[in-house]
Amino acid sequence: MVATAEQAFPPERVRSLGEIGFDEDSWGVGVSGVVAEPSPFPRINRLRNWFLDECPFTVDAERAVLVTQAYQTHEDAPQPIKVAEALAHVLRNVTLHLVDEQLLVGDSAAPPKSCPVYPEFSYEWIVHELEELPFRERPNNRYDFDDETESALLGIADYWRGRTLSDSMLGRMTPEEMVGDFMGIMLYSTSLYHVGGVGHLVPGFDRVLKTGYRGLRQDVQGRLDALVGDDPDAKEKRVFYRAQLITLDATMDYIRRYAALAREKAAAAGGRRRDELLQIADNCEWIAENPPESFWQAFQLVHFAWSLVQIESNGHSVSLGRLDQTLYPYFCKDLAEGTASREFMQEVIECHAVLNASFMKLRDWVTTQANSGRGLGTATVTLGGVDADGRDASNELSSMFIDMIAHTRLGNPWTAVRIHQDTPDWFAKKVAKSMRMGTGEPKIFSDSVIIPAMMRRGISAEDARNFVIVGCVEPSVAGREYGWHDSAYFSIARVLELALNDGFSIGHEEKGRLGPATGRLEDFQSFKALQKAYEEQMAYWIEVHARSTDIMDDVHRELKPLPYLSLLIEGCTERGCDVGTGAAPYNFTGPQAVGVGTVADSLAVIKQLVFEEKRIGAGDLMKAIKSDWDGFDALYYLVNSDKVHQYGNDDDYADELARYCTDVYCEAVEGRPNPRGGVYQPGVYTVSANVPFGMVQAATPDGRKAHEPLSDCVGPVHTCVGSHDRKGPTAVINSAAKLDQERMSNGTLLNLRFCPSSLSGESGVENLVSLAKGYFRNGMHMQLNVIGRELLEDAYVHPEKYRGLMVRVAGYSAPWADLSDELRRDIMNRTELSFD
Amino acid sequence: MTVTERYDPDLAGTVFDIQRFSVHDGPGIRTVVFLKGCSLRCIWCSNPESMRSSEELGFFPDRCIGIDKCDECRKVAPDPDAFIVRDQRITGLEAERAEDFLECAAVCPTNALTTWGKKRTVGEVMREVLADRQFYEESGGGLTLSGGEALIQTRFAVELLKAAHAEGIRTCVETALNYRPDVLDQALPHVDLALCDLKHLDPEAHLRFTGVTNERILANLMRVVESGTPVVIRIPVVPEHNGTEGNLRATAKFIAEELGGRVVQIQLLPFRKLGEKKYASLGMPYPMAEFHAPPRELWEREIRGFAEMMSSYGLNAVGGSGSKIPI
Repeated sequence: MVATAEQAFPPERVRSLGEIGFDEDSWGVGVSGVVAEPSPFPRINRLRNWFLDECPFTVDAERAVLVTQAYQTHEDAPQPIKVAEALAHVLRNVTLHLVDEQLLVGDSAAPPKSCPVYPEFSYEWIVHELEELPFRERPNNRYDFDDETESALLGIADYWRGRTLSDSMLGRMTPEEMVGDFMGIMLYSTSLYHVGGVGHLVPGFDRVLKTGYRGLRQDVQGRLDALVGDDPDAKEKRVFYRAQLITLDATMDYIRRYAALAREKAAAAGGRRRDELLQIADNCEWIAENPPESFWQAFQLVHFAWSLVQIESNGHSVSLGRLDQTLYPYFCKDLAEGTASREFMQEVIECHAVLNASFMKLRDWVTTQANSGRGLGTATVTLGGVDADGRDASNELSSMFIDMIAHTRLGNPWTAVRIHQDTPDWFAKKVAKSMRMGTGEPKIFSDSVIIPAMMRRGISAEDARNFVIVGCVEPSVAGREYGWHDSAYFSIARVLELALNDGFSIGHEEKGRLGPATGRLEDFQSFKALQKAYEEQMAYWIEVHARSTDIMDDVHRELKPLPYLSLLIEGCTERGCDVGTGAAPYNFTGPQAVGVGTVADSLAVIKQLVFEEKRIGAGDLMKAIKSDWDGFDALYYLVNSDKVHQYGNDDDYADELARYCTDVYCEAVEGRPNPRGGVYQPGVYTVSANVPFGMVQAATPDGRKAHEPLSDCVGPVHTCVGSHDRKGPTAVINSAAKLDQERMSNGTLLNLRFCPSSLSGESGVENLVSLAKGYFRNGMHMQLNVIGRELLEDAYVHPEKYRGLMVRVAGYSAPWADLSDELRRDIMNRTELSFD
Repeated sequence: MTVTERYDPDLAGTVFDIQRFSVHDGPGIRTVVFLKGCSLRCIWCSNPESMRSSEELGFFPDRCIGIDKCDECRKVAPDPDAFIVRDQRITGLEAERAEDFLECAAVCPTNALTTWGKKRTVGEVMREVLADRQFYEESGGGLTLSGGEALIQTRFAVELLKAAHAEGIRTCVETALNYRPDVLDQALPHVDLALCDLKHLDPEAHLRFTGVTNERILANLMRVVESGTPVVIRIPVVPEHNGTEGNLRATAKFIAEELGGRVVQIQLLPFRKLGEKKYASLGMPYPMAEFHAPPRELWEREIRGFAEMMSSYGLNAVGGSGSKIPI
């Protein structure tokens, strides 16, 4: 039944938080973005309204054109010089913006809410979509552009043909690697780093905060001057340092350009705004070269340092790290000296949220089906947790960032809170109150599982205790790790399909046998025989997928060195080589398994019904999935019923199979060397990749029909006739906790959705904290969606009315209105874990 | 006050549901074990499957995919023709002993045929209860026995309570108190919090709405209070029935004066018109079918008013079961 708008969402529920009170008990439960004017600062409410209503989503050609010009001018220069000159050319020429009332500046090399274009990574799809499926005509994630932009973008198409990273990768991949990848049957997908930058790290902001850009420049210059000899190694280092100097000089000029812009605007402004603009100008003038002296300057510098990493490369999830630690000395100093009030610093934090939300990434149409967020994918702030010595690190700033979530409700920047045994009660409760608002922020992580998991991969105790969250899920070390954390999604459900079917893919028989010949389910004498086939297919496909990934690693290193980023990662300037060569202390490659629940329940059906109870024949089961269950109604409902063992119910029978199928995957992945001198480390989460991976796979024995999503992250199966978890969140949590999560050091994720009534009141807060602490004895990471189904159903019919309604998709939150139809339905079909 | 004793893990009782992550039936995160059988017949009851203590067969014709596509139930039935079939769907049973058809529910892939209630041993129930131990520890939660009437299967209930205490898990019992006082004497030593239902203060109205009078219930309530076991009083507030100013004022007076206000909280639970389908599945008429419930918001506002009125007697009365219990 679809609720009417009035029932689900009476207009009187849209109230300003000012009427209700700003204190954390008034934040609401499951209301997310439907509160109007959530900030106590009128400036922030106006900026928020401007962001949500007035500023259009567009595509911008300026970066692409400038980069093309620079590549043409420096055609014959060594690659590091070429990319440095390209960045410098952008920074010196791109149009700058300063939004009315903003306290912080620094764009994405495009106007606010506009997507800059990165032709050096891949370009064919952009040309294709401009001609065949213009971004401005998409059903969702629409971006407008004018004719001038269109002709500018089409004008550079010829230059980039054959010159992009993607073109190079395609040239090197064998047919075997392609058939498994996104251009084939998509058993795995390396598409993220195939079409764009790598990202997925936290730059070492402390390096630039400590010495300023001038200090960094002196260091590089000193090392360049000290280089002797003309051997290839010295030559290469010389090129690397020259490239760093080119980017540094352009960076300082770029920041000074903002100072000039602010001064120009100040001349036309009056009153308090004039003073603010002059201070913005002074801030920029100063931090262009020098270490910051105030909280405002420090945050401004962190934003510049971060945004330049993004202008250099469009990698996802370049994150902000532990800002409650990094910025704390400036906060204390300003308070002690009386140079800024708490309230003002809160306003700066909230201004940053709006600015950060203005950074957009253009994704191809197919990707937006599965990954509908518009953001870069995005910058995560890590809060709380223990310090390097293992003591609680939460402080007043941690709390202010949580206030920022409630006051802005824009979903940006992302926030990750680290919980440990001694997390103070007040902080845990405040976090819970934010989580239950339903914006999906913050996500929470377990120190007691993640720290040992990282140490197991050779990370020092001190670095592990200081871990940060990168993007959606992945733990990392700020300024010391190049983790390639999202290198590929890898479908263990497809591996199982090939294991059931002698290496053939259902629906792709014309492609011939794709994996090793491991026999057919009909011929297996025991469940063990199937396990052996699964293990063989896994080893083979992990190997093939890793070859694909390593090709990308080589191509990124050769064609897209990152001289600016290399300034902010330890080891690069010191060793005179780019971050892509493995100069960082820690180097990983992290693929993610997709389909844990799907495989666990499929294995359970086969083990229980085919081999133990012998209730159905192997031939019939295979016929059923090949015919998409057509003519097998009773069997279809049976495998979807509580009469079979299913993962997510704290049932050891199914949970052990989930453990088994992930252990086999981890075994194949972990420890494999990567081209940067590091190793592969397994992750188990889908973010939203379970949707596209499901779209291309035939039915599976767990009762999933063809094209339905695979199971989400480490969660249970949801099919169109119902969810396989029936016992509520503690049972789901217990099932997930039986996986060997400490081994999944690239991260895991458990999504839970709650009905508001189970989390309301003081006891709701306490129960949520207890639930998290219970899970965190063995589990790494959980996220919540807290939205009433009534409201979601209305929002499904009328997405336009729910402006600002943020939902946690999986790994990230996105505005409901931006989600594709498939994703919206996927979210609605997750169980509502509620007890009214 | 609480007593740890050996318990019998093999004793079996009839359980109709186990609900984990219950956050509204006592403090913290709890597992509620619903025992089948009740000594009241409240006309507003939304769990008709909990009334009789035996296992029962329920029918949900909407869920049946049709005997043309699936005939599993009739394949195992002692008499396949006993099923009533309409439009290819199983809609009911014409047989003297429905118990003989429980196997049919066990094979039904859609639960169109379902069994209400299952014999389970103390050991089996405790295995599921113990699975959430870490959440009880973190939240101050534990086991809640409910029903039906939690204490009507007295031996089984007492063994479960003893088992929980032996495992270091705290216990709540939700009870309507309509039984001999010695039931309380057996149970209370193993109960950390009693959630006591109070349906109506007037004996005649009580008889009319629940099938029994309330003298024994009020005496038992006094007995619980006297025992020192903390008490929460729960009142399902049904408009035009017990949800009247008069009854609730009388109730408040009784608690304040007769019980000396010795209860930790009074919960006024808003009536919701639920359970109609479950009545139908059991072939029972729904007593509240003709009743028009006021809109949720309106009724909740009314209840908040009642809570305020009762609080004026020096009592801690709240609307709903979501407020923190002060123990």
